[in-house]
Amino acid sequence: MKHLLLALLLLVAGLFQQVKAQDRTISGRVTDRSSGEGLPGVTVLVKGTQVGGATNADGTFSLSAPAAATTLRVSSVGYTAVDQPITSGVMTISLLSDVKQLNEVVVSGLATNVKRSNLANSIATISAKELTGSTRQVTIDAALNGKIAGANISSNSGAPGGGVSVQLRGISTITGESQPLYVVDGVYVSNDQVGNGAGSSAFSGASGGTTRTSQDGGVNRISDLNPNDIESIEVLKGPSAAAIYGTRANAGVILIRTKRGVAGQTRVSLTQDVGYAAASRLIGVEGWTPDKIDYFYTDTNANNNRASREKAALAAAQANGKVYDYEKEIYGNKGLLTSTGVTVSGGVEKTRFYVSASTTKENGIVKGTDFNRNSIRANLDQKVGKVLDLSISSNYINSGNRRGYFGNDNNGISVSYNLPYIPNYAELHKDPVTGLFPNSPYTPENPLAVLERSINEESTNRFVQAATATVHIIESDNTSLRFAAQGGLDYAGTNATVFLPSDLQSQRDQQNPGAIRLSRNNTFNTNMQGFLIYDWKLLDGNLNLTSQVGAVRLSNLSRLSFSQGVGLVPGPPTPEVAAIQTQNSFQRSSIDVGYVAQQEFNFRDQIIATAGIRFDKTSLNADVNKLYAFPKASLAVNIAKFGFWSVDQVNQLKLRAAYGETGGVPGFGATFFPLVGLATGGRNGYIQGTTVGNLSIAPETASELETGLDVGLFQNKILLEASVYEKKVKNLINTRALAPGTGVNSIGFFPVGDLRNRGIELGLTVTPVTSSNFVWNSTTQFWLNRTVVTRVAEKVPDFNPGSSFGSVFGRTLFSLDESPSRWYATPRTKETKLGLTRYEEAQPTFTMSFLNSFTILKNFQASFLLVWKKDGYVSNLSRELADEGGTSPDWSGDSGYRDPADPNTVVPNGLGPRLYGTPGNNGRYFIQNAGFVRLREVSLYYTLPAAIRTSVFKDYVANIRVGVSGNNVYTWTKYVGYDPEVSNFGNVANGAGVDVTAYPSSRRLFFHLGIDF
Amino acid sequence: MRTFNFIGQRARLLGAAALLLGTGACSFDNIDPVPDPNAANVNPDNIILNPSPGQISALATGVEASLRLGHSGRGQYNQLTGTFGREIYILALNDNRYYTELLGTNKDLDPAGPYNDVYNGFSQARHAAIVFRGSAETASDVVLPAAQKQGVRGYTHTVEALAMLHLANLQYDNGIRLDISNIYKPSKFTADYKAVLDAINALLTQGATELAAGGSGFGFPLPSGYSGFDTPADYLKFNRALAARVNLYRKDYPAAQAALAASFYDPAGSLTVGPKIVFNAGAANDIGNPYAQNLNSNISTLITAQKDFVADLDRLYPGDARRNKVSPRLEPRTLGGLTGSFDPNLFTQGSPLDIIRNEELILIAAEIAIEKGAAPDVAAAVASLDVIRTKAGKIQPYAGPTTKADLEDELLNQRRFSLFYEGHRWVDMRRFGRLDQLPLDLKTHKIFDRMERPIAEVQYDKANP
Repeated sequence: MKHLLLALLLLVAGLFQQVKAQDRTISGRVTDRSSGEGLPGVTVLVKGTQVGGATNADGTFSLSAPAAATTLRVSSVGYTAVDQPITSGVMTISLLSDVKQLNEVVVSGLATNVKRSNLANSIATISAKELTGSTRQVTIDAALNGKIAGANISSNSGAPGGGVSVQLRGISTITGESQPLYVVDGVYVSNDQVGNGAGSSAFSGASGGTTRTSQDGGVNRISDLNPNDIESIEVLKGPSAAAIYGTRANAGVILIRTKRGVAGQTRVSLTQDVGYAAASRLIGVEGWTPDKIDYFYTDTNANNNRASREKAALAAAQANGKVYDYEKEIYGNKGLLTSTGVTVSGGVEKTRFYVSASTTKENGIVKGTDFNRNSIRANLDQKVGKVLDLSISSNYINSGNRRGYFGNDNNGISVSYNLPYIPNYAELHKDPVTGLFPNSPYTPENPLAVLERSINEESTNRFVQAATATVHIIESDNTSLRFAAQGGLDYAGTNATVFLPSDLQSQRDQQNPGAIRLSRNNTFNTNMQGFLIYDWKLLDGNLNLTSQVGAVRLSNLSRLSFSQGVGLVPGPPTPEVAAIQTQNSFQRSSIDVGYVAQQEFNFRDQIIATAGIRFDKTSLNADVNKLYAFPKASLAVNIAKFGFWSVDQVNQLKLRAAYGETGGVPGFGATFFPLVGLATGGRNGYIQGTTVGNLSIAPETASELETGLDVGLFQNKILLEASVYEKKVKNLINTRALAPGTGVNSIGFFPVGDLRNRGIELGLTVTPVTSSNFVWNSTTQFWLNRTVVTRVAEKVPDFNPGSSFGSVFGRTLFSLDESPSRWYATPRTKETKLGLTRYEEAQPTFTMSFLNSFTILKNFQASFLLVWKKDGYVSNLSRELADEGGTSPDWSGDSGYRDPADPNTVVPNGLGPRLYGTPGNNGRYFIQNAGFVRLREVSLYYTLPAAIRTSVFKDYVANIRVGVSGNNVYTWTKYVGYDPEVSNFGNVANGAGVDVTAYPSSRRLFFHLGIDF
Repeated sequence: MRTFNFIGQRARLLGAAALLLGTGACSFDNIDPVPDPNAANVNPDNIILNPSPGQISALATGVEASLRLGHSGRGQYNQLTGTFGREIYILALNDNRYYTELLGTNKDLDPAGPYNDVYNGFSQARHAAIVFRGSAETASDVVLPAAQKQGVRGYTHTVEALAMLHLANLQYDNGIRLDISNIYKPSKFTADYKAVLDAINALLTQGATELAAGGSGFGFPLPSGYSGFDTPADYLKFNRALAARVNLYRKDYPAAQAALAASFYDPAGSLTVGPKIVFNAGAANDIGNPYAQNLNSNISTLITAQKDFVADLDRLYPGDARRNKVSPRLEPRTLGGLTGSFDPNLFTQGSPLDIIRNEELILIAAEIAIEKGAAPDVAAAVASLDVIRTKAGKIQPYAGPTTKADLEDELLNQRRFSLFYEGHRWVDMRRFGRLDQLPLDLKTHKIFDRMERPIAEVQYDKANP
């Protein structure tokens, strides 16, 4: 590519042109119509030109315009743009805040945009105000939760920094993580969740794996991005909108634009947030009595009269006042949350900049767990003459977290897994004299010791760089031709340490006590694209056409490695001293190339049509040079813009339909037939792995037809957006099970069948009150999705597309005419294909969100977001553990069950059929409704009135805003567990969540201070 | 605004065209196939074609190591058979299915439960043997002369038979697939324990013939666990020992006796002689003995002896040295109504695992003597039993009644204590139709006579009729 860059530079140099002088000065002030406050950063342009600038911190502007100019175009994100005739003297322009910005531009191709009012898809756009304007979520994906119709977002852990799974419009793919593609300022950024081994067999053993597992409890790499840098997010939910992204877009695309400078006075903003996190809820722990101990233990010689010993321990603890609430002790803390940010932005017409620095530290509700992120961003835009626009975006991030050991476990390490087994009279606290933790006689490990002495931390250095160059080759009244080039890279290097000291209780019981792993994971992604875009007009300018052709190249490279040691001596965490040392390295890479052509037609904003096609090839396919086509076409008709339309109350009536296709790539190594190392007797050898390759693997493809109706009433005071879609996924790639008796369990990547998602998305935005002292905006969204398997390929057995799990806890099933996220579990029955009872659906019946914002007495802004997830079932193993341990809060209650042989004896809940069933464990006990109503965000801000501000700070300070906010403030749910929004087996593709004592999620409360200079 | 000039515009057009063409040329759109950077591969026929001596050695080592796969992981052969045969409990804090479901609280076993991994482990060993043999068949005669190819055949057929025997013991009359050479089209299930044993016996016989033609040495190394069994002639004795076991199960006592005679059976020799799976926790890609467990450990998945082991041993054979196979726990573990008070004390992580040893061969001799004729050969039977009683138990020779039933009782007891937690008790009680004599710790428990056919096999057969 070197010579390309050189050519570009030469071109730039050759095309530099002088700018003509201008000759008239216009000045004025732009204000918010509801509050009357000056609006900074508003774009003020002479209509039809690029001449203009942006308002200063107090909303004032001053610009030179050609003498012939008559109208100013005043626009700002979040406000309805206005065309204001130029008047002499100081102009005053007030803007009305616009909840659904019909004039904002939305991406329509890889290099072009379209006005929202002309859009044929339902593309969700989240502005900075919606994303972070209310409360402060630590990660972007968490901040999207409840704000996008069609998105189901769940967290893998309540630990600081999250770990979030985003599913757009149902199930798009069933292989691996199925997360949407994230594109930040044109850079295809990594959202990998690379494990550090905390769940591997040497540590918690949550997963059977020995290297990196889906149960390591990692964060998503998108958590590296600072939400405060984001200007807007567009969510391309399905193939009809995302077709232009081709072979990686099956799970949808999330396009993120960061903030950029606006010309005008330099703005300095300072924000400081301080808050705390506290557990959303504690489940509670039942205490013990001698009677309960008799229920729980018996006195036999074989157990050295355990019941008597426990009763003595209880009596001693009670006598000495040493009865503890360990749940509260571990989860009942408040974690300090702080975030400080500084941004400096501004520039002149040709050169604009946005620089930000932020530091965020979030402590968890469990001591010793935290998340931190330090981010520096510099976005620079430069116009070179009239022909060349350059912009670069640079972002360096250092992020880290400490997560402890929570969730599923098979080695007795996990704090949350052990906790339910510990009675309140146990003494687990550190001996103040010796500094040693006592052994827990009830569990393999003393959780307090794990909290204090184990390590599970990682730190990431990440650099994301984007550059774009646009060359305006032809600019005339009726035609323009430009070349847009874009390049980006994303490098992330993560170092992780997981460590269990050799003298921990659990480790002393191991054959090789103590375990340490140092991991180094690097990912390096690049992308390049070049597009020629030609705008032209026909039919006397009534038909606008935009043509574009271009090419795209992406590369991904991951190098993952670790050194591990087990069998340690006391000392620092290093594998060097270990008795048994293990090395591991894994590399994967891929290259994609795509070619794109697209044609847009716009007839007087009345009829807007688009057709396009993308051809893609990737090294992940069996045939690396075969091109796969992904077409799209869409049509929008703005009926209210036709001449015959005479209903004044209806100012917008748009019918729209869109069709598109996207792909999903096979995983790395789909064509490999690997041997796995297996040594014995001092010699190294290998056997064939249990998975074989597929020499004809091709992408899975999704096609989507979306139709919708957008209605705007009373000058958009009421806006209704309704969409229905049908998304079909063909040749879904999954492992195809072979007969395990052959010693080979599966073909790793195989087109196993088709499925279909159908859904409805409704959005109603109303502005019920717009008075000078009270403005109320309200958005209600409703969405639902149904998925069904429409074809199972020949010779492909029905299979479990979710976590592979026993029949008692629940399995999902990929089977004809069934939803792949439907639970099946015991008791056995002959009536279903799997021989198991059919339970409920993991996907919610529907989801509703209710977002309201108020401006009161001009200076107060309040908002709340309420989310209702109707049903949606998860497999919850947490209560079982507490029942087994005798600690569930209702353990002693009457279960109502009576042993037929002994009908007069009360059987407590904890020993009743809910634990041991009649007969045996039963799926009903585990598969639980995780529906909820949650007050997800609530906030109240106060902007200091200008009069007070200037009297104190004179003109040094342009704006002061203070506020309080909360996140997940209250939840109404019948779910028995810490959080109904859980899926702690990593990002499960079919969204069927599993809760095995996940780290409890927290309620977060903040105090905010924002100052603009 | 119309300030552009013609020349400038043409230059820009050309420049843009060059750029676009540039993006379409050179390396921009070139994609090369990516070979596996992480592992060696077999070819799509699942063999290494024309293997080098190094590849042959690696494949052979893989086959030897694969025999441990059914003993490690989430379903371990001796733990499962030990639970079904009420030798041990798996008191797993991390997963109650191991001490509820496996003991019968759900009436049925779960064909999808994690313990079904044991099926995959032994199936992998079968496949590894097939891959090794298939690859070796394509080796040049320089790398592997004809006799050594026979050695590979005999060796791999013996390993396959051993793996199949483990599977057959677990699946019983559910049967197994006899021919798995084509992974995409394996044979249907032969749902009959007896027929599967016949096929295993035939495979052992074929292996014996091949080993006999295998020359003086193998063309590949065997690990130290096969010390004394590492030439084709000596390995044949191991093959025959397995044949003795299989024919005993088939109740073909003359064949068992013939096989015993050709094996390393030695009533005067050490009881521990026999090939072993060796372990080394410290070596890359190797593991420690998966059944090793520290005494008094409080680990998540804790194995303890079933409560009757010590009681019965003390009652039947007071002072028996085999009581050392368990060790009393300082703190018993109670879970699900079961209390485990004794740790098994058989292995450290460096201990090898016997595949078949002289002690079992002597017990086989005793059983043949009891069962072969119309009436038991009391002298021969008691002689064999006494070897076990005096050498293994350090107790007095047998002086009890000598009816067939009494001798069978004594034989089963000796087998129970001599082969404790080695995968025999459940199979033995089933062979003698005595599963109903195994103890039930709780009313909700039940004795299974087989594991369920794994769900993946059931589903596969449905999709591939």
